[in-house]
Amino acid sequence: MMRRQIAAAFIIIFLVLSAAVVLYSSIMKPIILVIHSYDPDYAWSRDITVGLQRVLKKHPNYSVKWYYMDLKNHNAPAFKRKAGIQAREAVQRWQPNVLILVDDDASELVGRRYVNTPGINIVFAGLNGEYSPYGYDKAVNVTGILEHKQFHAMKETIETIEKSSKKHVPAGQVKIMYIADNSTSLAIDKKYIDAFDWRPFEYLGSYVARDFEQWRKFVLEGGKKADYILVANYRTLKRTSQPAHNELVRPNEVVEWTNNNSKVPVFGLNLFNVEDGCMLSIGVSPFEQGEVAANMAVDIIDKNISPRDIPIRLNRQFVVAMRKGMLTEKGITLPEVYEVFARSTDNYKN
Amino acid sequence: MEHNILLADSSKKVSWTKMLGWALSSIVPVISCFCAQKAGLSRESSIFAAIVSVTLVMWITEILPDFVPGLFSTLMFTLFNLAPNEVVLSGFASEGFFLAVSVLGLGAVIVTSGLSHRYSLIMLKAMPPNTFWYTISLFFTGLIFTPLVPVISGRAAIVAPVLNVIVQHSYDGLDMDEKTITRSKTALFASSLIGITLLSASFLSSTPLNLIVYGMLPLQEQQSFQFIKWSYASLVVSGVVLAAFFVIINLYFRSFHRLNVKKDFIVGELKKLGRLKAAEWIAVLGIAVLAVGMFAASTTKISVTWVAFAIMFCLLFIGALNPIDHGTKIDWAFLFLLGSMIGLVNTMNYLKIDLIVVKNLGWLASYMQSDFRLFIVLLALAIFASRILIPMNAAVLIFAATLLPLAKASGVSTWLTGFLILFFAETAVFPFQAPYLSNFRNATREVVNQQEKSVSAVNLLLFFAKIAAIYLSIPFWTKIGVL
Repeated sequence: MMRRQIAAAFIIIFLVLSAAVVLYSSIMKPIILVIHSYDPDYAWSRDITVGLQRVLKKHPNYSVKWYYMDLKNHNAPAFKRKAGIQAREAVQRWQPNVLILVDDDASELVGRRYVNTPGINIVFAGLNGEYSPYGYDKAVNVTGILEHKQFHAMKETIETIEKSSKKHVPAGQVKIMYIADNSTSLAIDKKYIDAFDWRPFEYLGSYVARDFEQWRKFVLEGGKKADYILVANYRTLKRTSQPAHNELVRPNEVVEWTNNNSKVPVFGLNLFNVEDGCMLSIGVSPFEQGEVAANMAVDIIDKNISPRDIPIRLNRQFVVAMRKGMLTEKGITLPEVYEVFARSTDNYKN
Repeated sequence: MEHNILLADSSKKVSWTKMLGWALSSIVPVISCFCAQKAGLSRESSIFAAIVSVTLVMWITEILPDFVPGLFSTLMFTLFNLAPNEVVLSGFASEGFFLAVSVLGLGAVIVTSGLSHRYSLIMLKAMPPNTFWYTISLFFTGLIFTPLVPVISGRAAIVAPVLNVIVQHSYDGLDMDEKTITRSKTALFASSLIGITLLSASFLSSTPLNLIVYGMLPLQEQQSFQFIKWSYASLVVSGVVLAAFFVIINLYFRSFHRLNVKKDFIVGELKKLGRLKAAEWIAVLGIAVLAVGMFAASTTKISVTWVAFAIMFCLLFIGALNPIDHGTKIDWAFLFLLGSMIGLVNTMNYLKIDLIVVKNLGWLASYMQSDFRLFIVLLALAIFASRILIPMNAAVLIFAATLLPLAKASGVSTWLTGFLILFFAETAVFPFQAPYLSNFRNATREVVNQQEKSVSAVNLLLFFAKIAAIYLSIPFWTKIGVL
């Protein structure tokens, strides 16, 4: 009887100790919750995740949770509201030490609700415009990296193409137009691209398409009046303008149609535009966005640095992607360094 | 259903359904593969279509136990190299699989410990002796064990003896005509039966099918809709069907009267059981730890799945779940079905067949998106009709595998879609529609001569109440961000 009781006591001690150790280790484990505005298959989000993981995989003691709001595929206001509620529930559920918010929608729907919330530190990435609209300028718990498109690099590239062109058109007569869908991030970008000094080229302005029909119209018109069309995204284009039909056109279908019907070269301002079928793109590095955000999170957790002591940064890296065959077909020649760069970052397609 | 044709007694006749099932199993995959190739699908997608079609035939015609076609599909996906092994076998390594193992383990301990039997006797002892209270008690007995015992037949095994005891020891010496007594017994029977099934869809752990659908949800949705959120999101629906049940049972049977309950018998049974045994304490502790794990998940940072798995480990460790019970009381056949189903869905996604489904059922997706109210009615009617012809498991699996990718693509909550499928599929008006219905009838036949038609009528009325409940829940779902 005595032996049995002693054995039972040992079993209980073993179970209680095991539970205590597991609980302690789990409670002390820092949690990073990454909330993406879009979906895991979207090239931009996917590559930011690659950047995040490059840093975070070196910290196996962190518990990293992922949440995708899927707002590129569904951009109706009702879906946005729903996605915001569910993402905020994820924050409540995981109570993260650091909340990494990727792209503007995540800051709009989640970040602004947790400004100066004790216990939650926010690191944003991929913010296209200013951070003040989300209240981050008055926040003590927010830092991050902005995503401002590489207009200067694109202008230089067009200059290079024009110089090597056989047509020798004066720069003042070269016209550029920008066509975009009506997504949140591009609405913010529009302000910057319109304000950018495109001289010596003539900038014809930005055209925001509500749907694929309007996109096609802009592309066809663009071919008549511009020499270059710039695009950044087209993932929220509805197939028709009828309100009952919400089908979005697949990105590669949009680009394929655009390539086939545009009389002038179409260049992308995002790295993934080439993946979708564009001939050339010069975009912000999504890997840098991810790596910088993850490093900021590590500093907050491991070095106990307050987010307010980590300066908000602007992106510094850009990446070139190209489809050499299509460029050659259009008679566009670029210095070899472009190809070397694209090849070295695995963004070269023949 | 008899499945072993080759080894069965040669004098036994083989049913036409079975012969048809085996014949179709050879023909349908060939036709499916041919049609898929004609439609321009890749080699892998065509083979996938063939394998899934034969699996569906086997499920629908019930020529084999459900898990066998499931495992057949897993084997074929692997042999044809349709996807890497980590995709095909992903179901067996998923959180959903381990959650199911754990919930079934805890459920087995709750039943085998005798805790459920003791509860039933205490309830009978405490209730005032009339059919009103006993109807409520029987219903709530089933309801209380709905989240705790994850198999309907397991809950039937708990409630059926209680119903038998009430009927055997309460009707002697009552001055009532036979018709009234039959109606009264039928009301008790109906509340017992409906109590174990009505809110099955409202608790994640109440049926193996819930766990399968849970396993088929995208990972993000699984994390959102664990035990508490699942029940919370179905709160309004549960409330409305509960209210509807009491209104229907009251108006339909009108049989509330006093009973001559022999409480001495019940007290004697309770005395025989003695004080709470160690196994029962352990079962209570297991339930309590699981409840704490659910509510404290954000503090402990441990997913409920692993809390449940830890509980099962403790039960094994201290011997409350012995190796024999672990082998026999846990429905391993279901777990194989669960693992193979999740693997099937993941293989489908890997081959991008979900996109083909979405493309071809675009019209349905636009109903889901633009007119969800109409979609609810269409879905309810489609499931109701299919349940007359197709067994429940097969119906749920087919609807879930088709509609969940569609819901995801349309931006409709996959949990809500899965919940609707489970909720409507649970309606069994005729005894042949659900094996547990027949089993429950058989278990109580000796003492309860229920009116078959009345029970069917109540179930049918409840089906319409279910549609109303879904409509009434729409504002709530909108508020909490599900819709």
